[in-house]
Amino acid sequence: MKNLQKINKKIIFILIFVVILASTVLGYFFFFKKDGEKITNQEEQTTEIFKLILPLNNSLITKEIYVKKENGELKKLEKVLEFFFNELPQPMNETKIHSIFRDKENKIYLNLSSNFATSRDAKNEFYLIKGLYSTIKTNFNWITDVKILISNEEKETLSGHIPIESLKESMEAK
Amino acid sequence: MDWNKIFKNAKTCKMIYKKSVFFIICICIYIFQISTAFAQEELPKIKLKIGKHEEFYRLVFVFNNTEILQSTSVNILKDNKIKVSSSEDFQIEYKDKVLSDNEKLHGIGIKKFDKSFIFEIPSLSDIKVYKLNSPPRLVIDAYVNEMLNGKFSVLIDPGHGGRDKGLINNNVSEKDIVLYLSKEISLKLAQNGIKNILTRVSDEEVSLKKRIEIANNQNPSIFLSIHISQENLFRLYHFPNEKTQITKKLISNLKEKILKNFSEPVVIEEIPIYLINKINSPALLIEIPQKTLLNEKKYLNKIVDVLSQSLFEIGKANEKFTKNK
Repeated sequence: MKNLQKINKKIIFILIFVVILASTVLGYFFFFKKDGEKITNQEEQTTEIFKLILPLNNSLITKEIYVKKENGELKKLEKVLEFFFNELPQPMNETKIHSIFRDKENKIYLNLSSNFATSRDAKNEFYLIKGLYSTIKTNFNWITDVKILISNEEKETLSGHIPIESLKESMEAK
Repeated sequence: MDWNKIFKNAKTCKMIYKKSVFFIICICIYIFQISTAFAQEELPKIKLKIGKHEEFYRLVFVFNNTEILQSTSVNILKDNKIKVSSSEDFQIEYKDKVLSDNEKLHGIGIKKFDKSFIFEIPSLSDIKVYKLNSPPRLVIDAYVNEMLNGKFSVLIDPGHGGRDKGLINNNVSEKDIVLYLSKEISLKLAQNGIKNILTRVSDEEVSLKKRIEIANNQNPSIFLSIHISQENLFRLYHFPNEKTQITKKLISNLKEKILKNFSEPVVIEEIPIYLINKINSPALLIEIPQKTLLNEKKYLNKIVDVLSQSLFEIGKANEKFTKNK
């Protein structure tokens, strides 16, 4: 009888141990995993994905960037353009955005530093402007047209081949 | 005495007086407007006829009476403009339609200023003025530098110019090299009897819009824009789906000649470059190798020979084709 009682106690002890272990394991998977998901959801909510269309060896390549969410479309545009310019070769990677304006027809006026208007041949100029215009149009489809100003001044071209008054007209030629 | 009544009556009188003055002013304004409208309608009309000849435009103004003709004067202004003014205000009628203050006919810009009309004629060099009777008319023959219409002709466009230097290497700039090449090609073509003109003949800034305007006014058989590449190769740009036979022939002729005479490769690009897209005539943009910035005359003259020879051959073939047709 005493032995039986001892065995029962052991079984009960083992059962309790198993229950505690199982609940710990389940608890770990249930709570910890959910927290993990919560963390990634929060990350997704605070970042946005944008596409950069960059000129490279006289063609265009696409890159994705993850940017912290910004309030205001012009702020977002400025951030995306900063990444765009950073990816360009010297001296264009030092291009500063002096200001960005938007008119009532949703045409964007980009006032850039003179680093962006250096000498280059027709093909390089074409792909540089195409890359910039495609990056803007892909990520901000509300923008109807883009005009570039260099150091607060209106210029006809960056390097003498493509007009920059209306990138829509220069790039969507048919 | 009832002062209140007197005051009220005085006030009413004042009101009536003010209202009647306002009414009279309105009527005066109305009468003035009607009279000016009638006066405008009664402006003498002068009939205009425009003829385009090989070397000049002929503008014929037909008057109703000789008095206005005698009071009319003609002057050449700056920037290719002719001013036709009279002591009286007048209207110009073209094909039974009264011209507005800003019109464009046969490539001639026409603007009205007070009692005169300004005619803007591209590449104007000189004018001859005749006053003739029965019917009273004024004839202006406006001579232009060169008109490329008709026979095979080339419009050569040296890229950049002025503040826009293009590519630079050791103080040698693209704008100077392409100007030198363009002038030499122009000379060779002229020696071979091919009509040609340049979009710029000196170190001046010519906007892309102006280049397009020149090309579309001159209507050449081919427009050739010359630039320098950042690489050591020849690049020929034409608009995607280019359908004109003349451009195709020139590209194939140039490719063949360049490969025969130079070690640099030829790349043919189908890119919608704004300049060649906006020109109505067949258009081509050529980029020559970067090494031309070394300014070696032998190499540059070799390019002149190849380009002018190619244009000459295309011109001859085109004339033969037109004659057979």
